Amino acid sequence: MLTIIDLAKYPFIKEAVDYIKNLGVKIDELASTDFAEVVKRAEERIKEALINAKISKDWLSNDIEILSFPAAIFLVSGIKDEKIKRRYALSEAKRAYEFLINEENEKILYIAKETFEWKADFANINFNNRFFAFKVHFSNYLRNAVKIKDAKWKLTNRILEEGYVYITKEEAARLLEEEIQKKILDKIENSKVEIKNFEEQIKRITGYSSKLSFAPSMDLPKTTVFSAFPPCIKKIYESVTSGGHASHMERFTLTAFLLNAGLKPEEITQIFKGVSDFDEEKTRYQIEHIAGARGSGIKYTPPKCSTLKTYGICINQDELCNKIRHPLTYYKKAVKFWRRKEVDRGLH
Amino acid sequence: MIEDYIKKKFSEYYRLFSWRINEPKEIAKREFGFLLFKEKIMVRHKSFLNINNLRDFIKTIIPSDVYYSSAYYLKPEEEMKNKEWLGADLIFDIDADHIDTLCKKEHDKWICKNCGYTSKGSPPENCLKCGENKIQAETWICQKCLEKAKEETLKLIDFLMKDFGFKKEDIKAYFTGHRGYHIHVDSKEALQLISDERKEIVDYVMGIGVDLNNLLNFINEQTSGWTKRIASAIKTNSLKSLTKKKIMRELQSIIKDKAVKIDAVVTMDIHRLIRLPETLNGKTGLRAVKVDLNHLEKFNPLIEAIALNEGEEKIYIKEVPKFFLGEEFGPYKNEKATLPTAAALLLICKGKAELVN
Repeated sequence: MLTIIDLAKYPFIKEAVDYIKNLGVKIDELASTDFAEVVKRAEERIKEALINAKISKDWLSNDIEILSFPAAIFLVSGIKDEKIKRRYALSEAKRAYEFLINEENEKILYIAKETFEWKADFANINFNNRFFAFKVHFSNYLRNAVKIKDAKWKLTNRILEEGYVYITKEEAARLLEEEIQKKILDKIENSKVEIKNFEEQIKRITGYSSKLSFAPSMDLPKTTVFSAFPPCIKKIYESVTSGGHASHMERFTLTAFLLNAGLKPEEITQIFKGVSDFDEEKTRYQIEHIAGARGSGIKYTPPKCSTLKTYGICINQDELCNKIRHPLTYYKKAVKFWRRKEVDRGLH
Repeated sequence: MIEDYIKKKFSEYYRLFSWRINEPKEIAKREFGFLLFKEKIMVRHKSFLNINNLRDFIKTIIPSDVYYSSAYYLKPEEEMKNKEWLGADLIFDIDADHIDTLCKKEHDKWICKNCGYTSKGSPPENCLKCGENKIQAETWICQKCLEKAKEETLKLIDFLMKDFGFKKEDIKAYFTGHRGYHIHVDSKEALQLISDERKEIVDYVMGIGVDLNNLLNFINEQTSGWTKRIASAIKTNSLKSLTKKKIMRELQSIIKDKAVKIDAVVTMDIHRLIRLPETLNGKTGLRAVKVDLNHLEKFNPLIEAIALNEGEEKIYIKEVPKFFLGEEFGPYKNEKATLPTAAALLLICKGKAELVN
């Protein structure tokens, strides 16, 4: 079913791992000059990922292309920066996605079943002018689809029959992209070989990453910008400060949000003074728990939008709500927007 | 005194019937929790190597309620963060508390502990008179509510089999011993699902997030999932003459009708403790009894979940509506009566009656 070219396209699949095993190459031999080309291509893979967020899709030697993949994993595992690891895994996954969308259906299904142990089959059926090439078990579907933004991936809106979700070829490639990314991150995490003799490469790679075109970091502002609160938080905030009632989940959501937006526990206790059943001692205790000062030591974040929806807390959605999946992301984006407006008005 | 009586009855049940408690799958990987009568405290993080150890423990401490984890852990006795989660059964909880029934106005009431205001029906979040939220609900077990909960359970099972493809033998239904049903799904595929993924299943069966605009171009009985469920509910021609707004409203009401009313949190919580089947419910003295799926439609919990059906008890009853437990009783108001043990135990557990000695 698979050719050596397929192994070069998809070097993370089971067959590629077996192929490398059969070549008898050991990771500690990489430093020898015999493998200079392999190491060079490995470094190039990482460089392309960091600089272009895209890894090139042509090569001269199948063997070098195949071997350069585990070599790149090995190099990346020697770098401490989590961002670099994620960026590399994502770029490799995107490269594979671009091959997969043009692949024969037989091969897509084969890789999904063999390497990723999907329960899946051909569907080859038309619903409403859309051709669903495959059906995949909902457990495999959910594992990957929950990570993708966009309402079309929500299970409620899918054709689900006897345990299987119907997907198009493009969707299969997109779900596999998620699988591949996860697999590569796992490989990087579990690479236990000690890195010696590659100081030069590691130094260069760290150098590329300083020029990274990562999305501008979205750190939370130091001061709290109330006008940038999402509608759901505004509503709870207003209800709490005007002496109204709030459910347990609403209180948790507001507290976790405010803590992340930079308010101190004492300040939040003051805000809750307005609620009808205010108990200062209890309130402070609970806020400190959410802040991570007590108990588990975990600092909580507010629930994401979909959870707020399930609890009936999501209300008055605006345009920005459709673009985000978490109230804190709304806040970060809205803060940027407000800042820009202020700059425009010469306020900064 | 009252607790002593309930505990004595529970003790009698477990002495005679602890053999009914089946060994949960992979018992040694489960966490157990016990609610004690006296201190009303929960003893948790317990584990047992086999069913006999568990039965002996129950017979010794006589708890008011027994729970076990839907999750499997490498170290079930450790504190939460060290347990090492291995997977969890898929659980659904259907409870009359989450279902609107008209009869709740007749048998449920609530009291505001702040101002003393009392009213009938489901409890509101805040007192309608003083606005405080110190509300104490008094719920009652009624056949109509239980019947409605059963209908929801049957709807859920339909989703689980037709849409999710679970096999009948992997779906187990239990009456909770109070106002609802638990569904446990034992499936290799569901075992590893994390909370976010289970939430998608919850939203699916509850019809949350159905894209109505998309649906309109998609309604077609040949498809499946929600589109098919809705398509088969629509009288197609009745939609044609309607405005878009009215169509949307019609679709929403169909979804509301087809969706299952479950307690979302129970399914999403992958570390949850749930009631152990064939143990007694401390709120009622009734059995959490397994119900064969083929029998579910005809199942009557108010006959089949009776735990102790021998003997009778003379009690003083404060106020209860007419109720059914094997036979009709009541209504009673500030009077003495001699009732069969199960009925007397129910009223005592519910705090509605006292022993007359």
